[in-house]
Amino acid sequence: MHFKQSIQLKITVLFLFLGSISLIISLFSFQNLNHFLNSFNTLVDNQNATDHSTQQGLLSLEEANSSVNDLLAIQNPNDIDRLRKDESAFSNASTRVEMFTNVLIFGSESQAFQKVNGGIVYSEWQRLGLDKTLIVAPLEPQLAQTATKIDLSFGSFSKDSLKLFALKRKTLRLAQATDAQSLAEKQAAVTESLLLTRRINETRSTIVQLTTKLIEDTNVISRSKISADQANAKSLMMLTIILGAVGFIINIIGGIFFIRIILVKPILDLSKSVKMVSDGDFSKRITTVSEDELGKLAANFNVMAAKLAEFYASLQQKVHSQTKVIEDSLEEANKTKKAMLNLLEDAKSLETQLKTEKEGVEKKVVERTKELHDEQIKLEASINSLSVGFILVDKNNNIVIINQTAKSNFCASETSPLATIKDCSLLHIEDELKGIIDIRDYINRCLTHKKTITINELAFQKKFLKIIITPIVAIGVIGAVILVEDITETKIMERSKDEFFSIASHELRTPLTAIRGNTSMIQQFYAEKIKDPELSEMIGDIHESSTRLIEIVNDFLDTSRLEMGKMEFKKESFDVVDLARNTIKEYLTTGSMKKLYLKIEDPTSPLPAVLADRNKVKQILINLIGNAIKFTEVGGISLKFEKADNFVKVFVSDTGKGISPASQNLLFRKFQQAQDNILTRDTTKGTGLGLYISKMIIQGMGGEVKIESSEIGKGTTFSFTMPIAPAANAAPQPHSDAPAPIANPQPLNTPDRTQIAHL
Amino acid sequence: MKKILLVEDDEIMLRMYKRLFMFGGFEVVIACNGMDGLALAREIEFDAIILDVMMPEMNGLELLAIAKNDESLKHIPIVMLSNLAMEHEISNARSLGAHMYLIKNDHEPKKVFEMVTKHLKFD
Repeated sequence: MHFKQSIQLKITVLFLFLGSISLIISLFSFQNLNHFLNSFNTLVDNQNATDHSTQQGLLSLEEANSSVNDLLAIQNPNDIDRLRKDESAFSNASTRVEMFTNVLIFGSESQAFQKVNGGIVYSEWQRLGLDKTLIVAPLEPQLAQTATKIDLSFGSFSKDSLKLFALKRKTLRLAQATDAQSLAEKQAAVTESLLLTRRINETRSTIVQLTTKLIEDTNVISRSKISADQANAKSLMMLTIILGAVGFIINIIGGIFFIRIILVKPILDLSKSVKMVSDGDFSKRITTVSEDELGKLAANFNVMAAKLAEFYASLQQKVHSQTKVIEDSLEEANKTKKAMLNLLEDAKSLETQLKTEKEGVEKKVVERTKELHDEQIKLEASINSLSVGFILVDKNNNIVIINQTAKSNFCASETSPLATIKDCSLLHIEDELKGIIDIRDYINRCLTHKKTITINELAFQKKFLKIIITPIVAIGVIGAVILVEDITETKIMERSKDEFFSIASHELRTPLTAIRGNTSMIQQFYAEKIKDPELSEMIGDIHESSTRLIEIVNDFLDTSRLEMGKMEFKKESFDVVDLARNTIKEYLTTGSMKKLYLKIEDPTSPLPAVLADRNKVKQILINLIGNAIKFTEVGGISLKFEKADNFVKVFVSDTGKGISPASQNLLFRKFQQAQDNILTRDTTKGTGLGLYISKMIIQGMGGEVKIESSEIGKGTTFSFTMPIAPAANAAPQPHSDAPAPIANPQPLNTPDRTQIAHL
Repeated sequence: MKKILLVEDDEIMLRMYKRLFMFGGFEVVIACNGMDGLALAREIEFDAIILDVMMPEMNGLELLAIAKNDESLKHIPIVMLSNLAMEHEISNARSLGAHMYLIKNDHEPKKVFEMVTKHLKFD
C-alpha cells in the first residue's frame, strides 16, 4: 500500500522514528556506564596486583636474611652437602621453568635474569634461598626508577651472597690446616666474610626501604587515578541524564505534532462537513488533500452527499405526483358512490324474484318429504321382515321401532302362539327376561360407554338367543339398536357335534380298551399257558396293534377337539421339572433297550412354577421324548429348563438323525412326518398328528413350541414354553403321579348340558 | 379279603375288570347299571365302588351323587372308571366326591389295578 494512502503506515513510521531516538540514547548511556565500570575494575585489579607483589618481595627478603645467617653459621662441611642437594634439584630444565613461574610475578624471565646476573646463576640464587624473591617491575612508568634501583640492589645482594658462600667453603676447607699460609688465608677469609655479611645486610635494608617506598608511591598514584575516574564518571552520568531528557521531549512534541497532522485535523474537517449535511445542506463537500483512509472516507462522503441531494430531489417530485394520484382517486370514488345508489334500486326488483323461487323450493320440500315417508315405510317393512329381531330404542329407553321377529321373541301372546300382544314395550321385555338378564342395565351401559355389547348364548324360554346392543351415535348418543338372533339351531348343531365326538370316543375306545386290556391280562396272568413262541408273538402283535389303534383314535379325537376349540385347559400351578422327571421314568425301559441315555439337566437356579394343564404338558413331553427316542439310534435324549421372561422354556434334545430345513417348515402341520410323502409313510411312526396336537395344545395354554436347532446326522432340539404362574399361586400344588384326588370344581362357562337334553 | 362293587354296563369291560380285581385278590360284586349298583351298595358293605360313567337307567355320576349324599354310603371310596375324558366331566365327578377318575384306555389293566390299590391303600 502506498504511504500516502495509509494512516496505519504513517503512524507506524512515526513510532519507528521516535522509538529509534530512544534506542540511540539508551545505547549511548549504556556505553558510558560500561566504560566507567571497566576503568574502575582495571584500577582495582592493578592496585591489588601491585600490593601483592611488593608484599611478596618483602617476605622474600626476610627469608633471604635468615638464609645468609644460616650460611655464616655452618660449622660442619656436611651441611654444605645438604645445601648442594638442593642445587641438583634445579638442574632439570622443566623444574626450572616451573620455578620461574613461581618466582616471577611481573616482567619476563629474561628481563629479570638479565638484569640481575645474565640468567645463568639461578641455581646459586636458589641455593641461597632467594627462589621466592620477586623482581619488581611496576606498572606505573614514573616508578620505573625506584624499581631499577631495587633490581640493582638485588643484583649486588645476590653477588655478595655468592661470594660469602665461596668464602665459607674456603674457611671450612682450611679449618684443620696448621701451616702459617693457610692460617693467614683463613684469617683473611673470615675478615672478608664479616665484611660481606655487613654489606649484604646493608643492601637488604636498602631493598626494604625502596620497596616500602615503591608501595607507598603506587598507592598515591592509584588514588589520584581513581579520583580522576570518579570525576569522569560523574560527567558521563550528567550527559546521560541530559540526553534522556532531550529524547523524552522530542518524543512527546513529535508525537503530538504528527498525530495532529495525520489524524485529528482530517477528522475534525470531516465531522464539520457531516454536521452540515445532516442539517440539510446537501451541497456541502469536503476538500481534502490526504489520500489515506480518511481521504477515502471524505471522498465517499462527498459521493453520498451528492446522491442524497439527488434522492431528495426525486422524492420531492414523487410526492408531487402521488398527491395528484390521490386527488384523482377521490374523484373516482365519488363516481362509484353514484353507481352504488343506482344498484340498490335494482336490488329491490331482485327481491321479488327471490320470493317466487322460494315458493318453488317449498313445493319441492313437500315432494321430498312424501318420498322420505315412502322410504320409511319401505324400511320398516324390510326391518319387519328381518329374520333377526330388531329393536330401536331412544336414549330414554322408549322403543321407537320393533320388528315382528323381536315381537315374537319377547311378546308372544299366551293364548295363541303365533299372535303377539299389542303393548310390546321395553318394560314388558324386561319382565320377560327377568331372572335371566337385566336388559335395561345392558342398554344403559351401552349408552353410557358408547360400546357394543354382545350377549352370547342366552338361554331364554326354549331358545338360545344372541343379543347385540349397539349405540347409535350422531352428535352424541341418540339411542341404541338391539339385535336379537335366534341361535338355537346353530347351538343344537354344535351340541350334536360335541355329543358325536363324546359318543364316538366312547364307542370306539371301549372295544379297543377291551382288546388291549384282555391281551395284556393274558400276557400278565397266563404267561405259562402261552409259552409257544408263535402264540406269544401273535398275542403280542394284537396288544401292540390295539395300543396303536388307541393312540390313533386319541390323536383324531384330540385334533378335532382342538380344531373345534372344545379342548379344555385347566390352569394348574406346578413344577415342570418334577413332571419331566416323572414322565421320563416311563421311557427308561425303552431307552435302555435302544441303549440310549435319558437325562435331565437340573436348572442352575430354582424355576418358578408354571400355570398350565399338567396332563396336557405331560402329553407334550411324551410326544417330544417319544419322537426323540424313535429317531435316535446312538447317544440319547436330554431335557433342559430355563426361565425366559414370563415363561419357563423346556428343551428336549436328541442325538438323532436330524431334520432337514425343508422338512422343519412342514413339521408342525397336520399329518406331517418329516420327509415322508403319503405313499412312503412309515405307519409305525404314528399318525403324524403328534406335533400338530402338541403345537395346538401349547398355543391353547399360551405358550409356543418350536425347533431350536436341528442338524442332519447330529440331532434336534425342540423347545416349548409355558407361562409362569402369578406369584400368588407360585407354590406348586402337591401332586402324585395319579390324578389329584379332589380338585376345585371348575366353573362351567357354557350352559348346562341338561338344558340341551330337555329340548 | 377286600370287597369291591364294580358297576359297568359293557359286558366285556365288566368281565375284564372283574377278572383283573379277582386275580388281584379282591372279592368282586358286579352290577350292569346304576340302579342295580345302588341297590347292591345299600345291601352289602363294600370297601370301594368302581363306577363307569355312561350307563343306562342311572349313570355313574347320578349314582355317585346319591351315594355321596347317603349317610350310610358316603364313607365308601368311589373310583370313576370311564372312557369319557372331557375335562368338565372329570371335574364334575370330582366335585361330586369321587376319589379317583381313571380313563380306561389311558391305562392298561395292570396299571389300573396298581393305581386303585395304591390310592385306596389296599396294598
